[in-house]
Amino acid sequence: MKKSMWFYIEPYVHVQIQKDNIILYNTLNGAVIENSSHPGILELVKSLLDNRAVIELTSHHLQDPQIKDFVNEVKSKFMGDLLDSQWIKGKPFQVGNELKLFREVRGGRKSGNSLLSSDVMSHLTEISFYLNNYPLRNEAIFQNGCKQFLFSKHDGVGEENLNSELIKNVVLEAEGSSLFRLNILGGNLLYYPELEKLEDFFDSIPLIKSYYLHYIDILEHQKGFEEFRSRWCARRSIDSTYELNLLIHFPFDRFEVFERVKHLVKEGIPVKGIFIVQSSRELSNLEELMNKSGLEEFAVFPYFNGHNLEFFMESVFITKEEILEARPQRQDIFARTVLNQLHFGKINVLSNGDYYAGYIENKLGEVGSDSIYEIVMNEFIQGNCWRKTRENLSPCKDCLYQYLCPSPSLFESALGRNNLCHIQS
Amino acid sequence: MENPVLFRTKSNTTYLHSSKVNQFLMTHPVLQYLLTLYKKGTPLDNLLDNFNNQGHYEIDGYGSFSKEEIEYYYQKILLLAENGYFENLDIEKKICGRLTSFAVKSSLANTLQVTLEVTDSCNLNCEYCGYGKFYSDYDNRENKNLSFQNAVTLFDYLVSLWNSPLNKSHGKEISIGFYGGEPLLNFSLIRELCDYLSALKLLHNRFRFNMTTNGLLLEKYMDFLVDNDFKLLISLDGNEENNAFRVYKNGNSAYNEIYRNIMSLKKKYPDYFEKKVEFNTVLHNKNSVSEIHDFFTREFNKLPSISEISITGIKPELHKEFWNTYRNFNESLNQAEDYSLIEKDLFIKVPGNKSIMETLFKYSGNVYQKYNELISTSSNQPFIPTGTCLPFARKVFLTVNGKILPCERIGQQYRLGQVMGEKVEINFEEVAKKYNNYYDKLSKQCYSCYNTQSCKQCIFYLDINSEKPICKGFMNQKDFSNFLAARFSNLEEKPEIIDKLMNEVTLV
Repeated sequence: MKKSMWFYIEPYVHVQIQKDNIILYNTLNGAVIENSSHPGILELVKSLLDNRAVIELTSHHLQDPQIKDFVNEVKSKFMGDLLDSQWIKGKPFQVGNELKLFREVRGGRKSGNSLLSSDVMSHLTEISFYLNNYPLRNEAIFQNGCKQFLFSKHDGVGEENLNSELIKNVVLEAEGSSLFRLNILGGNLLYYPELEKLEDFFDSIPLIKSYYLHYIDILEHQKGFEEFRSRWCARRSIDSTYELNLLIHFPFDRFEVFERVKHLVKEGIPVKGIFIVQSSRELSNLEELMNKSGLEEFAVFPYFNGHNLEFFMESVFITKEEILEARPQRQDIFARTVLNQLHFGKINVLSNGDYYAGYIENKLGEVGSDSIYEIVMNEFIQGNCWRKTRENLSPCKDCLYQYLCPSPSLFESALGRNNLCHIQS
Repeated sequence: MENPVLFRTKSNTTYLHSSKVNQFLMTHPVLQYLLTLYKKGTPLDNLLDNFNNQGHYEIDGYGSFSKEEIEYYYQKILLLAENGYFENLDIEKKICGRLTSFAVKSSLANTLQVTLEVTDSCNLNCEYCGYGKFYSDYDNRENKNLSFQNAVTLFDYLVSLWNSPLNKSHGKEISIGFYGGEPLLNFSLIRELCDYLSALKLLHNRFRFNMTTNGLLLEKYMDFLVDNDFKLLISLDGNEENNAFRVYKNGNSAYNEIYRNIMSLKKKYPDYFEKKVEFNTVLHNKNSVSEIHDFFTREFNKLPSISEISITGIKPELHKEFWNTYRNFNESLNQAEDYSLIEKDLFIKVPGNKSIMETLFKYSGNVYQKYNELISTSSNQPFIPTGTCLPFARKVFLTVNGKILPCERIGQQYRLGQVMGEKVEINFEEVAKKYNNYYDKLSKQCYSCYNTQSCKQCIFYLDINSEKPICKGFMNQKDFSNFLAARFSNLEEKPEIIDKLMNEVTLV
């Protein structure tokens, strides 16, 4: 009688087949098995996926040396195991390795508006308000930077301000959602006439208020910044939900700006330095600048200016090894199959009142005319940004690493290519 | 809460569950053996001490294993440990959510259903009725009718909330349920209210009507019900013999009249009957799941909802008689000759199946309800303890006496508000406080309960007003292990139900 074994893949292993290529990735230790040659192994893995990751193997299967090697490799990398069928009466049960999402809206798999509508607002987590868009600055980064990351937008020819009452209404309408952060940007928001009034309203809501000032904003309107700073220092004792992000791009030599924000840091107000780099040289100078700044928190964003693809290829594009080093967890992989981890839940409101999701490309509506509920519902259902995954993007759609790789970002959009990686050309 | 919990199914497969990682893993006998040593107190570093000088090691019932195999599973244990599988879950942090007055108000503004007790009179005297002889936790039945004024006052109040920014349930139907007693005994109020509600201006929603009826007045009012597109739930326990408890006040069977009325509706409005009529059956000692299934499929080509008789609020002096009348669904199903056919037909109406779904949903880590649960920031948010619905999140129930309750299935002593003439009194702060006090009474039990994250226990089915209420759903580690073993044994026997559950069931 042939001895049989139950062969199973652990639920913490991500398994994917793309065009007859197989990848198994162990989320616990980062181990990987890639296989692209043996049809018997392909059949075996397909069978595992069809049977909730448990199949019966006989000694006949294990006589095939390649299958035997594959099974041994799975076991040695703690991706699965064999159980002697004599120990067990019947087939053991596994939930499987795939995500099951009840309120799925992909590919027409909507579970009905009634189910979605009841809690669609729970998906809203972050709103970015661009209070104004002036003064006009001609440098391209002040027009295009905001299309790649949170950055000031200086494209106004007049003095366009987002009405503070409209902001207030949007925030109040979002009550009961999962909103936890408001990002406040300009133009130079120090010129925004209702800045203090808005802060009075913000004091009453327990959300994180994250302001963005470019260093030029501070130097350009020093009086405005001093007023802003003293208000924040006074407020600190009653409200600790304010934080400031200091935007810096190169060339930069105005170190006195660090002196000006020092008082805020002393008061315990979080101030984060956000450095925008466009070349390897700028990147290499960062450490020195960070030391000089006296700040403790930093973030660095690369900016694609249309001429620095080489810098992106060198410093931003990722390799297989870097993807694996990041050690994506099971929940990350599940999330990346159905939503965009970078943009999901986030809405932008420009100074002219236009609503956008992460991409400032597809207008979703207008403040005052469209409720935040309608905006959230539309973006959720259409999913142009919130649910943009690598499933349908070339060449990612054929890549074994499509869900191990981070969700598509705004950089892909700026560069006009979907794969910021060295895996496939 | 200690991790992991090990459990063995009928097939002799051992699994582990880690509530910290939220995952089930099958365990090889060696892994299981080492884990058992670990759970008994052997530190991880010393797990291999017993094996040092032996080439092979025997595990009872599984045979002999080499030193290399033991070393392999030890490495696997270390990998699991590194990844948090054996870390204890700090359940206190997870279930420290508090109900706020805003949440209560918001629930009311998004309520899915309003149920009106339009009358407490009934033209039947069913022996097991929730307002009958067995129970003590309801207001006296005094043949009272709900007043039009009280109902209108409540609706005017609710409309202002439904039309407010607090309502996030746009596009959703609000179900207005007419309930009794026998609601058709107060038909004039139903008609008036339907007219009134149809004229109300809802900005984001629309109404639909439903009614639970015993069917005795169906013939008389069916045209109205059909015209207003009522969804009907008719209470019927099966054939004439099965209906022995559904009797007139004089004790005579009401079956023939009810059956005649149902057939009349079916004949006159066949499409309506097919689409809008459902049945509700109470299981007891005069019927069985098998008989019920047989009767309804044969007579109406429908599958009824089958409920057990409510076991809460029973008068102590009638316990013996009550339990003689009571029948358990699964026991009755298991006694059926054509068990598997009936189970397949009833599927989600079989209590065990839904419970399996809920277990996998909460404890497998593969099943998510909503997109934002996949974003890590939201999964760490604390939740509110017990399995009790948030007040008004599911429904609002208005009694003939103007009491406002969160559900018609709980004792009327748990009033959360009152309609008085033209005024609705609901103090959201007080409601939140009341619920938080209830949670506090149970918190110690919740903190040490292994099933806290999938709790189904409604606090109103406990003696919650006592100083130290005892939770009937509490599970220690052993109980939880047995609970998981029962569910996985079921899944091993019928793995196909998981696909059906995953594809066809929606959790709301």
